[in-house]
Amino acid sequence: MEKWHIALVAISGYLILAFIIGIMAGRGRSFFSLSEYAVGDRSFNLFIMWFLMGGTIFSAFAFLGGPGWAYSKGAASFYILVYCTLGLMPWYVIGPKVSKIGKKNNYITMGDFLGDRFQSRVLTVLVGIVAILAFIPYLTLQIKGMAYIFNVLTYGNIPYWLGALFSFGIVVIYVATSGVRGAAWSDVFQAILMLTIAWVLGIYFINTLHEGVSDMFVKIAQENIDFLVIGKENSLMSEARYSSNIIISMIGFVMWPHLFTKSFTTTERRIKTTVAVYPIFALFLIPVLFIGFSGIGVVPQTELERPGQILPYLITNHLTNSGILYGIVGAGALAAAMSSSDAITHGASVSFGRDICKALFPAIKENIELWIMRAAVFLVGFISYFIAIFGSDGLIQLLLGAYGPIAQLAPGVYAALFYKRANAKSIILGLTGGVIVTIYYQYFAENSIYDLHAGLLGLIVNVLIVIMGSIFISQGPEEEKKAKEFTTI
Amino acid sequence: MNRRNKIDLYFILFSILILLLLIFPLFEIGNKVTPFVLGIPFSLFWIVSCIIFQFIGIVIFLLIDKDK
Repeated sequence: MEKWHIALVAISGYLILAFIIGIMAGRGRSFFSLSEYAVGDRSFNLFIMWFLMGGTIFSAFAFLGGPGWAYSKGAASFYILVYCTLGLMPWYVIGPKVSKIGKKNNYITMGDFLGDRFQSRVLTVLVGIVAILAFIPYLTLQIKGMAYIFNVLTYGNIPYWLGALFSFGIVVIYVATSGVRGAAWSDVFQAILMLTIAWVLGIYFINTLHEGVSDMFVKIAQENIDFLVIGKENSLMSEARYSSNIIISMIGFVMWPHLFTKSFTTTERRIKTTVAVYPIFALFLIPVLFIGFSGIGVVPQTELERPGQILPYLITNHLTNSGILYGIVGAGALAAAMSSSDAITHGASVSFGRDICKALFPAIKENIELWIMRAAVFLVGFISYFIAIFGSDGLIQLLLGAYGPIAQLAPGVYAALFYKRANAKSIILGLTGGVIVTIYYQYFAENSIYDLHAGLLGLIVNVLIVIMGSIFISQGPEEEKKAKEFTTI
Repeated sequence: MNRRNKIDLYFILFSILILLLLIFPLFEIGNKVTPFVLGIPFSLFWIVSCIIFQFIGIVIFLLIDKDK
């Protein structure tokens, strides 16, 4: 039996296990309940919440991109730790409020929440569209990650389309059947697996390629001392870019609709506890960066096409010849990609069913809505798969621009909870204005102002419009009532 | 201001404090390679310390913040 055969068996073993857990998660729960499918009957406990939030965020990017950043950009990669730490903090304040009002008025999406507060179906649909446009490229990246891992670890014997079909197909099936609970329980398993593997690999490479952590960093510092700091002469990221990236993640993180709607899956107390224990997840990311650092001075840059290949390169060239170990590493990387894609696929299906279909055709009955969501899992899955396998790199780069606008949802959410005067028109104008400015600085402007993150510039415009609009435009009577309800919750 | 809002306000201030420690200009204090602490560069050690500080901080908030 060749090495890749053993690896394939190990990866398949993992996939089967993930599939069983995903399917079993939905057993004993109502298959026909919309609330169960979308928000797990609002009953998740702390254990699941921690892994669900952690696993969702710890994506293929963290596993492949993280080491790549450390290897090629040095200290700039610390940004990953920092945003993971800070990203969830605003949730401590807004999460419980969103959860409480969601339970009272039966919301399951961000579109429900904003649409009801501002009494505007246009806003609901707008939120749905922004969400889906951001979800598809995110998902595409995860699928590409899965395909890549499969392909590399089997020495090209499993083609891209097949590897992605296997792993993502499993995700699609367990999300469609078990809903958010399927995503949550498989995340528990996947998160444990990938964290374990990240630590084992990190420690292994540090000790085989170098003589411990200290030795590794001393060598890097001797080579280029600015590599391990930000904004110095030979550093790879400016101070303004580093700082504004962090600020925008802190504001935008919880605005990702698949994370925001997790407020509806649990109670107020558990949200706060999840935020408290969340920084531990950031600490678990450290070895992932160490993997990248360990490649410096060992792997010549010319060997890699992209820095993101550093982990696969180290595995194929510097790991022992054990096929099983090899397969387990592959499983860990797949787990990272899958635990993000299940939550995103689920989020997209719920947004599509509720924020777009139900908002446009309010007469749709609840059971039909649920079937639309299940069908949307396959639809969104198919589109993302298609783009991932057949789309050109240029197309994917273009689509990734859809990430930027997510942070533009923040003024609406904060205004809903804290700014009584805010009204639908100013929120819609602010959102649109913010998105346009972000996209302009992302694609069309030669340089960003002071090298700031494009999303931050959009946000400034967005907030100004919301404030001006709220001063000059008055609310309708219904909106006024809702404004009171939301700001006093 | 009621108790709930007061705790939220303090929490927001605490979040901003952590944020400021991790971005410029305050991050300049931690933004250096030496001294190495526990084998890692000072910049990384600074970030890890902030994460631990944040964790302890939120746990204290949780203990105070019991819904009555």
